[in-house]
Amino acid sequence: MFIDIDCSQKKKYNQNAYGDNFISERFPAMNRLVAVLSDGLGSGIKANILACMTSTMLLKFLKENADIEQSCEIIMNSLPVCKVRGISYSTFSAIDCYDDGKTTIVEEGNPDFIWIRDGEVLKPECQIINSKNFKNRKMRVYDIKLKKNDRIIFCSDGATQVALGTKAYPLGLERSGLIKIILSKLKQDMDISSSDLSSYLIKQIELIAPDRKLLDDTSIVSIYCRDPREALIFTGPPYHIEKDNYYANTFNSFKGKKAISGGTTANIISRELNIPVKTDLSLNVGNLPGIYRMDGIDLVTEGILTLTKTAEYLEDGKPKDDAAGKLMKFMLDSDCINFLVGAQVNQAHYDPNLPIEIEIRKNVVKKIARLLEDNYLKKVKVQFI
Amino acid sequence: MKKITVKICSGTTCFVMGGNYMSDAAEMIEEKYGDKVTVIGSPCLNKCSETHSKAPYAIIDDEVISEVTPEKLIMELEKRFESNE
Repeated sequence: MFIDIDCSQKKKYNQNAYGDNFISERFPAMNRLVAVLSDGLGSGIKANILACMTSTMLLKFLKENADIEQSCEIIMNSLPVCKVRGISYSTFSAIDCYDDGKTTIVEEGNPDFIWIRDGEVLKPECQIINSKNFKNRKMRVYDIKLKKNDRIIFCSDGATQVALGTKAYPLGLERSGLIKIILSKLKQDMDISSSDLSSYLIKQIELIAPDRKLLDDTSIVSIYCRDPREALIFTGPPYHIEKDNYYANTFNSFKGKKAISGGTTANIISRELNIPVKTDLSLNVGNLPGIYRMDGIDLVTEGILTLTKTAEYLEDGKPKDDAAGKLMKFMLDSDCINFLVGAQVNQAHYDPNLPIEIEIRKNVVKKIARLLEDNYLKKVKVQFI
Repeated sequence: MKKITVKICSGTTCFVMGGNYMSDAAEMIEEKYGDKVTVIGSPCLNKCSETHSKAPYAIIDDEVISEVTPEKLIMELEKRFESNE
């Protein structure tokens, strides 16, 4: 089971900084995901600092399996005290889950999370822990077991209190209103990704807000338990030529989307699997060769120049419509990305007379893997062959 | 006269050594010779790794042309057409 998670946010109207903060980290070796949404007191920079401090500290405590009660006390004691209100405050929702569904959710102050299974909202039991030092602060701790196709939604109170005091929503949208919107969207599109669902909900909330001006920072975190979308990228010729056939067949039998990044690699697969490669020279865009075409393979590109550019796009988040942009989209449309990286080196790439410095394939793939894991929460496996 | 086939390499070394201009060559050849010449791209002709690299490469029928430019390619094709006349 793959845990698909994403967050969409909108700032309070007229503010420059987000007062909510969302962070998450995946631990592929442990099949584990930890994520925190925090809402800082007030809005703007002050709220942003409170929310960032809370989420960062809590994520660290959670991933180290620290005692949650003690961790929260430490966080509350550490937050700066608001000059106006004389209190240090932020609310949070945190989730620690494994691919087998074992999940712990801890909430303090944020609206109750929404757990949807087969179109119904579930009401799990929770343990309430009172703060020793801070009055009226209560944590709710849930130990639950998620199943495939389950969805979890966290939100900040900006979502449930939108349009508060209006004729249509005297008490705001409320949790019940948000549930109605979610269930109706899931009826239309039951396989909607977490990214699309969270951005859809944020748009709906904005539409409900009078004059479309949000009076509080608003965040929606969406979690969807589903089968992972697997992808395989074969780049570089295998070190041992006699293994070409073996790896070509490994590539061929992969169940999922397939891409090749490398001219020689494309030729090897073409030779071993008897699939012709078609190259359209007119598809060259600027400083990158265009894409090649092979029947049954989703994307075929040049190797190292395209990979280097893809790493740049993954870093700055501004892809162009060239081969690297297409390779980046190929990666981002998948949950688990497997790389088969051939270790054979083409000496001609390291000729000092080349007008540009060509990176070492292994290093570029490692960089892409790190960016996909850290910035895009993908599961990545790299196998050098 | 037998149709001539031109293969142009768009592998990494060839591309950075000037092969990125070879899409112009494909257009020029099509304009000048029409269907007498077929131009096809190749993901890699595997010439740069065989000898001391003189990329970019193209192949006219079976002959390898090194350090190719659109102009050099047209010149080579011109020679073939002249010798066949």
